[in-house]
Amino acid sequence: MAQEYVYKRDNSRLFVAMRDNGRRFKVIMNEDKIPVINEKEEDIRLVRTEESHMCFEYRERRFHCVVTKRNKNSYTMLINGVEYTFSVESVSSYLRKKILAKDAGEEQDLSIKAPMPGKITAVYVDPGDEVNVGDPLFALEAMKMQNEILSPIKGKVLELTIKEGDVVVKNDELVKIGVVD
Amino acid sequence: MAKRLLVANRGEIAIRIMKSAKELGLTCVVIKSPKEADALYLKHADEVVSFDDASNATSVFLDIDALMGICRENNIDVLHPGYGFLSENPDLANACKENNVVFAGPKSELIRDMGNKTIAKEKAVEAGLPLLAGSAGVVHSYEEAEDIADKIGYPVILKAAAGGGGRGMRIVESRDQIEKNYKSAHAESLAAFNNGDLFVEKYIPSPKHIEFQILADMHGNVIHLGERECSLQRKHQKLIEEAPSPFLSPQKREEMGQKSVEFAKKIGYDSVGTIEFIMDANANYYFMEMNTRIQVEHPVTEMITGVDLIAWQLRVAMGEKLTLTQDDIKFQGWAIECRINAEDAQNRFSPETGIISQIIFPEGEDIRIETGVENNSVVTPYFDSMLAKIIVRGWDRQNAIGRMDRALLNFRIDGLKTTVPFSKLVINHRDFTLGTYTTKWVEDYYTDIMLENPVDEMIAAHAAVYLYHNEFSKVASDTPDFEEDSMSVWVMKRRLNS
Repeated sequence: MAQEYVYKRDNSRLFVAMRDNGRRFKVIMNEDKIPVINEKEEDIRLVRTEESHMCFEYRERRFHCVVTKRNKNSYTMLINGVEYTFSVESVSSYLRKKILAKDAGEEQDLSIKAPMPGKITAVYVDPGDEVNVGDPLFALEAMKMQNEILSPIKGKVLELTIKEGDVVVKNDELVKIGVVD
Repeated sequence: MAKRLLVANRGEIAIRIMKSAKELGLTCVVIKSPKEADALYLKHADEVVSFDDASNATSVFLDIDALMGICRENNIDVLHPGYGFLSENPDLANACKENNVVFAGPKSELIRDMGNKTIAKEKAVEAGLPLLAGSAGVVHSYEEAEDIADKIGYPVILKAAAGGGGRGMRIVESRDQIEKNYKSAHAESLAAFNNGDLFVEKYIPSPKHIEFQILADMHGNVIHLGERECSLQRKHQKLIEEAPSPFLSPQKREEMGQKSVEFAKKIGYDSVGTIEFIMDANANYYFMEMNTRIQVEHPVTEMITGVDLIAWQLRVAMGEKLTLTQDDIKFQGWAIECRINAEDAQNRFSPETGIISQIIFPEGEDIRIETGVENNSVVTPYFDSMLAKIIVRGWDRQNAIGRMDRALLNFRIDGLKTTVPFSKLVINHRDFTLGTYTTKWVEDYYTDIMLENPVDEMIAAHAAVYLYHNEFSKVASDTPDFEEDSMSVWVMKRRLNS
């Protein structure tokens, strides 16, 4: 019950780490004590830390955790070779965000970016075309492999910034798709 | 005087070749390209020849004239091509012959014939190997492909006659898809192999990939070393291989092995080679192709037979007689290989490049590591993404899976994402442990969410909060800055967070 006391009294030590898929972790950082995660004491102990690399011990196993991306309050952590991205909020910023989210618009236009560097070997759509989820947009050749890039949403092709034969680098904007109502 | 071997390759296979070659007393010469001047394989060689291909369109490993020049200047007696690059190029084998260099591979004509799928299939039919229904030869238009598909029924597969590694290959589910697919496969094949010829055949939706290892000499002796199953693939690239296959009965193994040997004898095969089959759910098997080089996955066969395939490849190339008979080949235990690629399995296996700040390999009984990288190695976009192979052997399949699981757990790499989490996922998945997985497993069942683990996720969430909290406390305690710059604590916080 002592933890609950901390939780109620000291909101400055309570943080929420949230993933894009909506999974939330409420974490209470206790000075000199183990953290409380989602109302449960978890025996996670920091073994050592250097720059962006942290090593934790949990249930007699070591976990190496590396920060691979960091942008404002968003942290991408690499652990056992797999990345997890969280946006971390303090209690007040979390509540504020919740209020703002209610006012925000629903869906937005989407830019398709090059997932990897390569060469555009075919373009299957023209501006104005309507596309469905899973329709091929263009083919990207990278590391000797042809990759078909599929539309992640249903919509209309607004803008096409590439043509066959173009060489693109990672994250180049290639196609913009507008949401149709 | 000791014979001199040129290893016309790089990475782990160059090191692997040198290991066997040194035991045979060969002097090993490798080629140093400025594209990876600090590569690990260079340190394993007896001699290093520098060749500046930085400004050339083709890599030195793809340049026959350059390789022959290096052979002449360095008094090379034997050339080993490894896999990939020019390993299945008949012109290299020919050039070697003209320059009095022993080529560690079969005769040039065999490479040419087996590299041409139409000829290879004709030879397979002659030797009594079963084939899938399809076009007798290449097709020259989508209409022609359409006619054949109508006859044999959909789905069909279009394949580059000169192809390999999945390039120029398309699966066509229905008639309305054939034109588009024919055109893109034709273009891809033309770009990759300078040959746009395609053929059409019946497509088996969820097959197993089973291949037989052949070992032959130039005196007519041929044996097989059993099969490997390489069904765990993504876009026709193998990721996990095992020997033996959990899907073959002893009778089937005997039958396929014998037929493979007969085929190799019939074509006069004289080196190590691999005969690839696909197998449907009823264990019907069909000849696909023969690879005339050493394969990436050869270690699983070596692990269960104790035969050094590369040593034999070099010995038979130099004219030695095979002293092993079929009865000498005994299979002991079960071997699994996981390829460790610098690829992001969470992002459609896109290639990762960068510096390996630290790499720690698992060690232990019956664990074998083949790698071309070490601490501080640079992973460049110039070459393929395979960093290493982890191979384990167990006394049975379950034991091998357990050993692989522990080996993967004890593997650590910093600086790049790799396919290790993917391998861990697969070997623990029911479809793998039951041995029912097919070449379509990745496409049909894999999603990157499967890589996630609730404990790791919680620790990562805690780590993110830990960092945020540290920054938060820092803002609150850094009062000197606040006073000197008379900066608002809110502005500071924003700066820290941006």
